[in-house]
Amino acid sequence: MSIHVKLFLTALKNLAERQWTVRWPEERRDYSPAVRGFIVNDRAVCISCQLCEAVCPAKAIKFHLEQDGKRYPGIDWGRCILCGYCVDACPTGSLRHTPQVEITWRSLSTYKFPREMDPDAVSVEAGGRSLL
Amino acid sequence: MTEWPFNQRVGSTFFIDAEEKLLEGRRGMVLVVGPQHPGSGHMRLFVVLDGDLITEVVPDPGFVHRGVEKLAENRPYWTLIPLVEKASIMDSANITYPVVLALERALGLEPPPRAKYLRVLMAELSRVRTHLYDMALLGIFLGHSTAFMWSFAIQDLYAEVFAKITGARTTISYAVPGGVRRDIKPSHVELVEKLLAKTEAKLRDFKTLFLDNPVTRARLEGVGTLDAKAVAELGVVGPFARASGVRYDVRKVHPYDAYGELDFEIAVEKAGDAMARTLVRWREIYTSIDIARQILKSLPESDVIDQALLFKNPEYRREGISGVLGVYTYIYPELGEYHGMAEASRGLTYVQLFTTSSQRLYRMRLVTPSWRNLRAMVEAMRGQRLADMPAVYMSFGYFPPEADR
Amino acid sequence: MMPFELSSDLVAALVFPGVLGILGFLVVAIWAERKLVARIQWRYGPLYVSKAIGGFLQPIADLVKLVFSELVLPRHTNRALFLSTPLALFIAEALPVAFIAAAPGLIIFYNPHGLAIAVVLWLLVAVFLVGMAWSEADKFTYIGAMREILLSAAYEIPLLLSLVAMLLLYGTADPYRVVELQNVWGVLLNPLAFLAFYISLVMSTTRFPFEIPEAEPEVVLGPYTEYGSTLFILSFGGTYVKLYAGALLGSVLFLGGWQPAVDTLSGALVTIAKMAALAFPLLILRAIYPRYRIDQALRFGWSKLLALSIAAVIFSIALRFAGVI
Ligand code: SF4
Ligand code: SF4
Repeated sequence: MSIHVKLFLTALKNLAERQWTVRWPEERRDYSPAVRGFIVNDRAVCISCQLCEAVCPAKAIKFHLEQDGKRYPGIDWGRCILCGYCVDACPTGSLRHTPQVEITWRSLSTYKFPREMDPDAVSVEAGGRSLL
Repeated sequence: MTEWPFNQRVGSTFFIDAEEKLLEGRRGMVLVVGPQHPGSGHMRLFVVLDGDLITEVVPDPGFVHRGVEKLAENRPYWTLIPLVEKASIMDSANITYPVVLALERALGLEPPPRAKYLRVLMAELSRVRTHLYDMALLGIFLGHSTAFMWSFAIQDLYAEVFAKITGARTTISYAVPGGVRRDIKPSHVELVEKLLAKTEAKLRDFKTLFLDNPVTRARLEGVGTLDAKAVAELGVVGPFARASGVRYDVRKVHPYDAYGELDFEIAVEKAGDAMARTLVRWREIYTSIDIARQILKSLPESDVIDQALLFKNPEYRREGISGVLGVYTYIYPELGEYHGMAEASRGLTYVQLFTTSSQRLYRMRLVTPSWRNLRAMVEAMRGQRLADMPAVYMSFGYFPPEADR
Repeated sequence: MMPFELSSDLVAALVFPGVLGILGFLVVAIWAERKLVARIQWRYGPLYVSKAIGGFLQPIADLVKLVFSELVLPRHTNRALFLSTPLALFIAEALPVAFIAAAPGLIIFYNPHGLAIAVVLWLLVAVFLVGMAWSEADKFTYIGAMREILLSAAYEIPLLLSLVAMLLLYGTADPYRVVELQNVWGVLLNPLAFLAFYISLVMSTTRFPFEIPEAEPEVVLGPYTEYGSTLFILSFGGTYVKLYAGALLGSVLFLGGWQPAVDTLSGALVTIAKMAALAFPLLILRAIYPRYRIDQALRFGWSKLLALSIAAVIFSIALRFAGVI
């Protein structure tokens, strides 16, 4: 009998616990800036060495020719698994992750190799609610 | 009971015939549980019932077979890590461990001490997380939705810490041949300490409400009992073998990485029933927390990546990232046959690699614990009541994607 | 007692404890259950429909959604039975309410043996449930129906005995007399009977830990598996109606009904408060217990619960001889 009373008390005690559910999108989780989010490329630094393409486990990177005569990586976001291998492999640091973790496109055709891997295009700041 | 209708169409009278044949003169029934049943997971179970008692269970796994072994034959060796970890995403730090160990043997790399400790830290955090995940599913299979929600909430803390340390919530791809991908900062040490303290605090109520609950105990005690002999014969691994008194843990028997230097006891229970299997994992959560604390206290100072890799191309090194991924494209494994073995959360995971002289493998053999425990799970269900089926199922922590690979 | 007003039975049938009360209880109980359980589980519960009032409109939105969802009629069933049994079940679960007074003058059918009739009607419900499961013609519903039969065999006798104990104590089954006689609440007079009644109530409304007939990982949804749309509301909402009837009966028999109020309106309010107090622990049971196995539930019903209810009857007889009431 006493164990049942204890069970009820434990349950009632937890009525006062703060909700752990995060009410996205009003509230976001805090993953710190280190999170492996949307990948951007700084074209001024990129040396077109194609290492990022070579290491990609999902074969998600293809190079395309730009107006300035150089080739730059483009990511097929339908294939990318956000493993971060390309970022780790990049010798110059031109590829990098942003804290943008919600990656969606309006249509199927635009998520393949979008050209805008421009670092300035991503405005999301890291930070939010941490459950810890 | 020879042919099973793995290919029967709708409208087939197979089950009616089977019922008459199976249990002559008795009131038998063949229940097809799954793959779209709330209590089956991604698999199908043919359950033969005699009244309320289960006389036979025939599993039909393979619904989430993704051909990991076949895929591994066609890609460079460093991409095996993100590939293999998808088989058991909750347990990603552990399931990739044997692959990394085998690749290190093939490449002749040796991780520095700090990397070894960091890998073990991640493996142990991942173990806590997987056990909590299995605990959650056990709870919901017994009808205890609070256990489910609480476990999931607590394991989400681990996802958050993983995201902060490695960058990803579940598929962390943290260990790589020769070291780890990111070093941890002093702030991360504090974070992990906070995480462990919060886990312990929250698990207290969880224990009261779930494990000490008389109804839970009634549902688990004496259900699906397997003795040590049966466990050995069926080839059960991991906490499920230790629940029957088989004292076997790869971390102790063949200590890999930092496990030889750490001081810990493996949890062993005698009873061999569903409760013992749950309790072993419950005690392992605390063992893992203890190991994680030891690591945080005695973390050696060194680099996190083998110098042999950096020597190839030192300028690849960048702030916070070991930057070795590019170097792998220059180095080739030795021709031969290599193996790796590690204690994943659900038991022994074994990997055998057959390398060629190129960067692609000839063959990878991956043996996952859930697959080895499937036979025993089915044996343990026999003779129990229908209501015990979900309890036995989740007391084995059976995870179909891990088994089907 | 207040003199009968002309249309009081009509008010009782339509407002409280009749149709409106039942529907209101359905909405409030489902909302309260989801909200309380969610809070215990560190969640918000229903929220996004009507954020200002804590998602209170969520059950109503669900009901509307269910009404408009497609009704699937399995080809191999007897359609007439398949369609009619949920309705019969719902009505049968609501019938006991008609014989219980919720406040002075608020009763649908007055009968001097009203409470006894209500109890008998309550126990008849299982028949419809089993009929429903049978007409669905599915293995999982059969198993659910078998479990329902076994479980009702386990709780029926203790339930009946605990109520008999109270009726013996009061010496009447008149819905008004019973309340008037409770100068001291029934729960204090015979706590054993209350305990037996309460546990049987949990079993008969198949709430956790006795949520055995519709155990999801085992038998999908037991007797309710094949139903969708409106029929699902009728069949599954039935358990809440049963809970409503049980809480009403319990508050009249054990908690002194509408006492200390004397007029109809405040009496109804007092009864509602007492019903809420009775139903509250039942609503959070879902967050506390897993479910028993059927054999364990049966063993419990036929041993401890039965012994408890027999003890309650003996205790009542003893009280009666002692002249307490
Ligand atoms: S690895 Fe870096 S520098 Fe080389 S091509 Fe890719 S983005 Fe450019
Ligand atoms: S994150 Fe991984 S999958 Fe995505 S492009 Fe980079 S290497 Fe390829």
